[in-house]
Amino acid sequence: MKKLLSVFSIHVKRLSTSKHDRSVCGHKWSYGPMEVQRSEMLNGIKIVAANTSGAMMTACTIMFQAGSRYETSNFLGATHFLRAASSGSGCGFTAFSKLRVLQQHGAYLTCSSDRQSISYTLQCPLLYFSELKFYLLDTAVRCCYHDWEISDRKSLVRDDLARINPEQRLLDLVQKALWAGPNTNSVFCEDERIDEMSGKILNDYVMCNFKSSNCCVASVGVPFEETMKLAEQINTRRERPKLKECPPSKPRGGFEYYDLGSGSDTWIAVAVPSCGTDDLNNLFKHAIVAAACGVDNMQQGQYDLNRVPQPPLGLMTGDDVYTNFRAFNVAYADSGIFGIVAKTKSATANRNALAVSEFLANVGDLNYTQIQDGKKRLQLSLALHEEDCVKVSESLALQLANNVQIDSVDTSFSMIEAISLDEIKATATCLSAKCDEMAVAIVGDLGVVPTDQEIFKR
Amino acid sequence: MALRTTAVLCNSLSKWAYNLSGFNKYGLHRDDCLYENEDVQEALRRLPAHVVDERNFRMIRAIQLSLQKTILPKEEWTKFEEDKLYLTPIVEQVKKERKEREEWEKEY
Repeated sequence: MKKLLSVFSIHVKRLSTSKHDRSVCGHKWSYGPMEVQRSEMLNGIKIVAANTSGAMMTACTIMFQAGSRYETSNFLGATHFLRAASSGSGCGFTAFSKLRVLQQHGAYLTCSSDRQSISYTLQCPLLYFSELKFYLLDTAVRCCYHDWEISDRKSLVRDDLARINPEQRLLDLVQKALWAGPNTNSVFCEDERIDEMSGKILNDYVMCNFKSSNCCVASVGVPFEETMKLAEQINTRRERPKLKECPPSKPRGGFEYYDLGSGSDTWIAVAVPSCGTDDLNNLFKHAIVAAACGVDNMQQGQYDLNRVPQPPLGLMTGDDVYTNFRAFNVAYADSGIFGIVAKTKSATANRNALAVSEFLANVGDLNYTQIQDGKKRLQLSLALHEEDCVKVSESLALQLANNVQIDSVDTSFSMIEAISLDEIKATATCLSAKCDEMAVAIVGDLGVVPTDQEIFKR
Repeated sequence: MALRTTAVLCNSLSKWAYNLSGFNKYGLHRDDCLYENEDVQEALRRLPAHVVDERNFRMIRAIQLSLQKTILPKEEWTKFEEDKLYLTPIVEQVKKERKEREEWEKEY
């Protein structure tokens, strides 16, 4: 019996370690679907970890729903300073250490914010994540906002205001023009408020708005357990704090402008209210309409032969290589904005301003072929988005904040395909019908553009 | 018992040495007498404005008293218990940051 067992065990060993069987019981494939795990802690922090096999760079995002729309009168401009002060000293690490150590390990720590949320993202090689995650925690949750550091950064904030890209300024202004309410708050601090800003104001803002119940932690390439441990260190309390409700913003159809001087290039934006991220299906429809209008040239160039415009907006430029049109759709929790931006020379600004407002008023005339093209363009841009681990991490955090589950690009693709062309056409018609609430913003040569009354009359 | 006696003795000795040093007779604090090297200048930059104003007032008052070859009345002397180190912790922090930079620059 013993001899039989020993012979049997030898054969079993050979079966498990023979070369032939080793190739069958091989390692996991390097490329495959992303495994996504989600959870929620008792104190309200939501966690998601996407495990992409074979990824060498990882990204981790801590996001708070504390964007500029949550700034009350005492805190106006706080989010701009939070972005500027994110490189400052925290409880654990000095500003110098943060810059040098992260750089030395090939890591990046970024802070970005918009009207809805503020997020801190660490991108680093997987090998160093367990060491560098404390820098992310220190920046997101344990930043000190010392008064002397805030004073040092006031000049940086002034420089930011001087260097705002005209298109960025335009998008900020058009949102200010569209809404009355908290959504009017700009993501940039007003020049007059810079001197009043102090460490106490920022600390108070963080204490009021950086709560565990509006916090999301997302990671790409990091094991779920590591992400969970990171989230546990954000807030050790177990009770879920109550959040103050943000009052809603109502559309007002206003007009905002910023003069760059006579003869300067001019940017014009016209926009109407769209939908928020709380309705995902509707959001996709608006995104498809924007993609169908044309969001960018497919190929840029100095000569008209090199340019490949995205019709129908792209074809409106004709031979004019100095003019660009693009549609956009931006969505926040409960509200959104859909519009068209035109960049043009001052000589043609008048004509193009009237053209964009007319296009927006007739966006419901998109045909089914254009809508089908819009679906494909949106799918392409979503697929390109998946290449960047930082963007994936931030989008996963955004999904958590909106209680949405889109684990991979395939899910988005199938959701887009499931939306019928008639529904999208109805959405476009609805956008056209909102022309009474159209808002206009102009950055550039104000002397040549039509007045808001002329644009609205159109 | 021996430990308590030692603590009381140390405290008394500290007070005696504090009073002997003499700067308290001009209304100065310990941190007012720090030599203003680069670390102390950086620490002063980090102080809130009202604390810097109070420091400047004490120093000007002390200079005036010194010029007049007089001192403050005894009830206005700075007491050992009231003398808070408002600058030393910040100076320590600045020194720590400087050493961190120097260590880093040595290695890389």
